[in-house]
Amino acid sequence: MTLSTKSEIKQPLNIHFEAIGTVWDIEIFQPLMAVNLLEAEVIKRIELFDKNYSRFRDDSLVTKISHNIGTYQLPDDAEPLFDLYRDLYQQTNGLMTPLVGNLLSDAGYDATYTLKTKKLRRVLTWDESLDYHFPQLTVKQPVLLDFGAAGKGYLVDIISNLILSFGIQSFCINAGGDIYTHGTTKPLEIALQHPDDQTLAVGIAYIKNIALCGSSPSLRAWGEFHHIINPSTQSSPRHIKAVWAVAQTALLADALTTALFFIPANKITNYKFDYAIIHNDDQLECSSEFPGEFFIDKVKL
Amino acid sequence: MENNASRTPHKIIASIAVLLVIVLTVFGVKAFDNEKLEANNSVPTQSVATNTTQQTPSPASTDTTTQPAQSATTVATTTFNDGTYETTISYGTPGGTESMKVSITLSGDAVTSSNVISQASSRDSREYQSAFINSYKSRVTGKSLKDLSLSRVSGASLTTQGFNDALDQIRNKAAA
Repeated sequence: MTLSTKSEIKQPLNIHFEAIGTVWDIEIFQPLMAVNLLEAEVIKRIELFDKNYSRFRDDSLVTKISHNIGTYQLPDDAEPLFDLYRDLYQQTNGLMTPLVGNLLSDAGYDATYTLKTKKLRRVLTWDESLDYHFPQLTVKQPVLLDFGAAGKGYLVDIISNLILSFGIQSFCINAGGDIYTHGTTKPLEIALQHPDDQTLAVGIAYIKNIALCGSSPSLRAWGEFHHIINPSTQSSPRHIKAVWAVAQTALLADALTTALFFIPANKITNYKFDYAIIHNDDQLECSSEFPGEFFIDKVKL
Repeated sequence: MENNASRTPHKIIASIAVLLVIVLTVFGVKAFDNEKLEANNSVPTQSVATNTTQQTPSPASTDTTTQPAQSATTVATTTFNDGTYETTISYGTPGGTESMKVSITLSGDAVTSSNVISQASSRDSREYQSAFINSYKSRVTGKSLKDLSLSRVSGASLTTQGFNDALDQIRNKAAA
């Protein structure tokens, strides 16, 4: 993991760096003496998460699991992540799965970003490869796990708790578009980026004490693939241009942005969330309580 | 917390058809009004096309004579008068006649806002009309991020330099 850090001592305080394959911006809306200490702790915590869950580094737990079958003691923070993956795996009939790592890697989204497609392997089912009973994970066949669908959101929650533990009550974390805000007097306005043009917004979300995550194939795309691949068709879904989900945790919001590529929103049970989807014909589908507005096309006569 | 409109291609085609009917109907009505307006007030033709506010016949005023000069520059660019137009549309269904109240606001020949109020009596018609209302005006468009001046953006997860470099490399190879 490469980290480039920069912090500016001003109000609001801003911590900016690159980690886990994206760009982070942490804004603190209150005076803080220990900003350097906080920044160091944030980076240390991200490093720990990366060392456990990244499939892009040789020394991670995930890479170790991909080489050696056996029973592993999972990290202390693994339970919410695995529980959610397990549930959404079932709800999407196995389409959203942490077992997609080999397929993503075969398609070219590998540790060195070769972006060259090799022979695609079949994605193993959960039951033929994993036996999960927190805190233990038994791996029955070598498999490369991928937590790209929800890991970043979960890390946002973890960093949010870390910031709270510093006594900071008002802040905003933005990890490459996955955003959590806490303790602001007014909701923060977040531009919802146009999937076809990075200089445009299709709408504005207003969020406060809640997470907003977005997913769009527009940036992380190469050849015929993007960062989401359907394990059943072995192709990247093209019917959706962009998805946003709003939920109490960034873990849930992030995971739902991928789940919504595989099942309709009204088929997802057990969770409270709002969402907006831009379909590939630019039609907007949006839950009635979505905290935001969209710019709707004028009909040219 | 709910799925708004069921989105089958069938319904979209139906929606587009209904929208066309609405636009044609509204402008049919409007064109008729214009003719009346013209007849009543003896306003020169080009002032009807360029007048920016009149929607209902009004007595000729001193404005009338100055309008063509004022709006001469817009003659070539706009076909319809700016303003809000309203109409009620009725159509036959197997269950009887149903109607919708439609209003649209025009500015520079574009519909800048629109509203449809369902007046359907049968449950089926209410459902179809509601699906139409949800889908006909839901095509998103973009506004410049610069103009919105919002610093926080959510969309495709920003990629790092490493990924961007990798993309550049395969693009260069493809171009070679």
